[in-house]
Amino acid sequence: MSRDFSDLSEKELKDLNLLDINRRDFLKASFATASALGVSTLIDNVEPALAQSSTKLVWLSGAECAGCSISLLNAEEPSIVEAVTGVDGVSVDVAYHEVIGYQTGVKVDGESVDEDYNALKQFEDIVHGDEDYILVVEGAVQDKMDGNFLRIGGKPFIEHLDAAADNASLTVAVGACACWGGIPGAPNGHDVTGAKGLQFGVEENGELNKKKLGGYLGADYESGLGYPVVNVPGCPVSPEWIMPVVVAALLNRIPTPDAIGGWVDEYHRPLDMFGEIEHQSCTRRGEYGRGNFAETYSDDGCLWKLGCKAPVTYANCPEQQWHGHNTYCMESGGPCIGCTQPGFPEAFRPFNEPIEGLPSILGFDVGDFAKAGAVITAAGIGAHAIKRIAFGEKEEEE
Amino acid sequence: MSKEVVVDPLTRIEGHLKVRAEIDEDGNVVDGSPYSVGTLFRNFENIIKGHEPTDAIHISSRFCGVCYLAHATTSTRALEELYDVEPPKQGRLMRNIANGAQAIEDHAEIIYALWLPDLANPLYTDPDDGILAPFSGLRKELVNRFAAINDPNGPGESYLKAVQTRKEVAKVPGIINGMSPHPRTFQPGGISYVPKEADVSKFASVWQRAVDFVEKVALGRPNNPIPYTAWFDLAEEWAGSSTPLADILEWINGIEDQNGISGLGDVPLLLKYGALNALQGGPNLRMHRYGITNDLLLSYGCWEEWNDEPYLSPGVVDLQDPATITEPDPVDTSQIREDVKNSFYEDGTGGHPSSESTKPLTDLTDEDFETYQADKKYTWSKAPRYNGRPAEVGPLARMVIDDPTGLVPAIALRLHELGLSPVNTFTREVARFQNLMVLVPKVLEWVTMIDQSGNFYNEPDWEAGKNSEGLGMWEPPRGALLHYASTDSDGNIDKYQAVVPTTWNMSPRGADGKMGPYEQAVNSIGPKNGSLPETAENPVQIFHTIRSFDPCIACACHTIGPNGEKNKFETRRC
Repeated sequence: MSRDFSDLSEKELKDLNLLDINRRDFLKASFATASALGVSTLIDNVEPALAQSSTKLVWLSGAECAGCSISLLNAEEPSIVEAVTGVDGVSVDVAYHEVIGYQTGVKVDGESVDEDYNALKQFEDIVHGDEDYILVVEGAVQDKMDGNFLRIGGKPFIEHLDAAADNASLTVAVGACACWGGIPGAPNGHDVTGAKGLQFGVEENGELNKKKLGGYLGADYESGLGYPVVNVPGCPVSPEWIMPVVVAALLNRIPTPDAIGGWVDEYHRPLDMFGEIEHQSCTRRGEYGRGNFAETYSDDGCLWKLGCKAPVTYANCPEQQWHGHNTYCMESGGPCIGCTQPGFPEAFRPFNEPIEGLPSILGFDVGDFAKAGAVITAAGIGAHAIKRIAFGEKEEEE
Repeated sequence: MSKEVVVDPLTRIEGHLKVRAEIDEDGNVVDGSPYSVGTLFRNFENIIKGHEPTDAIHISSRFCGVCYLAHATTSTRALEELYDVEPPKQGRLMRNIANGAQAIEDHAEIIYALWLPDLANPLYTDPDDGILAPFSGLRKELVNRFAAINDPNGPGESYLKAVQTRKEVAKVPGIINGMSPHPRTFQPGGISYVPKEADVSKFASVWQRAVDFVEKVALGRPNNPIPYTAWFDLAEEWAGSSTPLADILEWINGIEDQNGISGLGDVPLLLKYGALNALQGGPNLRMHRYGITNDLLLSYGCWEEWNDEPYLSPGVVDLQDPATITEPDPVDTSQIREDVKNSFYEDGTGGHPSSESTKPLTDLTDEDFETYQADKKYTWSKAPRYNGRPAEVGPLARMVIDDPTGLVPAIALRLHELGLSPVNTFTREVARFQNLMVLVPKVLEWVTMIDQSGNFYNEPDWEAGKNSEGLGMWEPPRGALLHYASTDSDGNIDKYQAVVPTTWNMSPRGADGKMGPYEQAVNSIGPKNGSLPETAENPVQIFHTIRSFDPCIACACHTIGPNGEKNKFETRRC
């Protein structure tokens, strides 16, 4: 007979501070969720910044897999079509996008063709023009070998990025690669190509540089409106993370740069989506409370023993879910691999190793796991206790 | 005096591709002038090395955000050999449903979001100067249906419906895999996902939405839908005819006579005005006259089965020997080699996937990337060869080798009889649509076989993964895919290699100096072969041709570090 551990677990975990991460105050966070799209009211203390209609979107593809672009096509609120055709007059103009845009780069005898369908001309016109644009970057920045590991239109990608970042009203990094290097930025990738994120990157020893010196654009980079790079991580990004950021920008709902600290965390992730530990609201959380752990794949129960990284990962997957609110990794039996965290993938490998067995997590970056300092407690001081709760006590009871 | 055209970035594909060619005064591509250039290198496979094998499923999935499921599946299959474990039937079934639905989604995405928007190109559709200016009905249909999302005349109606439908279908792999792109539930030995009744209900309703799109947009119109089952009846009828092309045209003419051009579904519209109208001397874009490759077609065959036969069988067709269209040769993986003569890797590092050792050049700071010579290095893609020859892979190869209705082989043979190449830009799109269609009934059949009480996962003996190796093969939308993995005495990956579809297709010239499939296909463009003259400033036939291959460059440009003592797969056959 198995004992119900829900009370004990809750209490002990509370002592460990694991659950002492307060739910964010959504009002204070001053964030536009997608459902607020139709409400074109400006919040207080925010100066109108971007035009609300047909603001241009420039989407650059660095060292990427296009997974974030494909994920964008799965957006629900708003859908990609609604975002383009507009909601109550507010819309985005996908002015440059190499995966879905109609333009293609054409040079004849070395000269860029002077036509609107020429992607090279379109790009130059936008980034050197007077109109506002939001720059979204997908993929890592590979700056070794003078940037020649990725060339576009006869130039290293980094030259396009320099030009676009210089003039952007707001710069957004989507996906793990653009945020901090992602998989191309892992050992054997970064060392060869230099792969790193826009504002965060990798130290030569392979550890994430929490002082954000490692990013290509540098620690001091600010977009035209005075913001640092807004990081919307994930591998891929969820469309329900990128769309609300674009919508918030269009509706001028992002707080002024001096107040941005209440809106993003120390890694520049919007707190609204990345402010909470996933494990907290996991649909298998009840199983955890009862001490019911999946022992192998396709089992019921909390996926902790199968290497789930949700207890050390900030993201709202369980609440927001994916694919029209139908699922997310743990719901479908897939343990979290920490893809929204700085340090992904290296800090979370082997993916099937339970978190308390990962020295890289424990020694990784104390500041990282905790705005609240809570989970580091769980991972450090609490490792023993959690192990006891998760594995030991249940077995003893049996 | 010829002009040099460089298409870069070649957009509406996955990844970073440049295509270069010279075009003469008559609008012919100058023989030998095309170069296909992969412009991104990430060193992906080395990132897998030294780690737990099951990590490879998730890292290799990120080769590509379009082919993610194919890589995860192929990696999983390689690991199943490595651990010597057999997945149970229900596990295979769920992987089939996820892959089948994703392939339907992907083919729709390629056809509508990436390929068809070129039909709205102003070169065709400008009301004053466009080639189709005299045919205002056709011109308007192309723009109104197919213009891309940010086209000044778009987005088109069919485009919008396709984008909506592909999102619906993406829910199936999404639910089975936790998220899509990049599945979380595949494991050597099966899958960690167990469907709920609500999920089965979702799969069925999403399937019906896909069928609605096929019947009311692709094949018919909303007020005159054509049942997908009717297409199979027609396809089998045409396949048995001695004049399948004329029969298809007659069917389309019948619909158009009754309902007008706006009453044609997208596929009949494309079939007639892309090429078949040539049979009656009517306006058409002559897509059957370019995009020609003339070496091999290769398919590994596909779909996990619980008996011995895959749904689509593997094979090799030699385009110099048309008898192989009727009877393809078997695939022998020992015949696969990669060559690096024209690729930015150290010379002498090519070979069979289990033994090649590849090292990227890391000192290209002074390289002139804008000149093109057949004996120099010019791309990050290697040059795969089968039995020493380039091979085209993808839906056309797959469907010529095994189309359950027989239609695509019949079209190929008929074109050959007419003295035309069976492999061209037109047949590539026909085969892509047909590939989507043959999956539609199959996915529903698989959904009806779901049994939640069954077993979904057999846990491997993890010790069996030490000093071991495995080879996985699969036929994702883009074509033949192979992963090879081997492990050291600790059970960690010491070698990982993928030979992916787009590497075959975007291959540079190899040691023999022979152009790869993209290069051959672009080389065939021009009145010399009966196509429209190409315009350097807006080389739309190059766009059609390259996009008809569905390039996926991120997959194609990667490498692996040196190793390779184990080579038992040298002689493996599939």
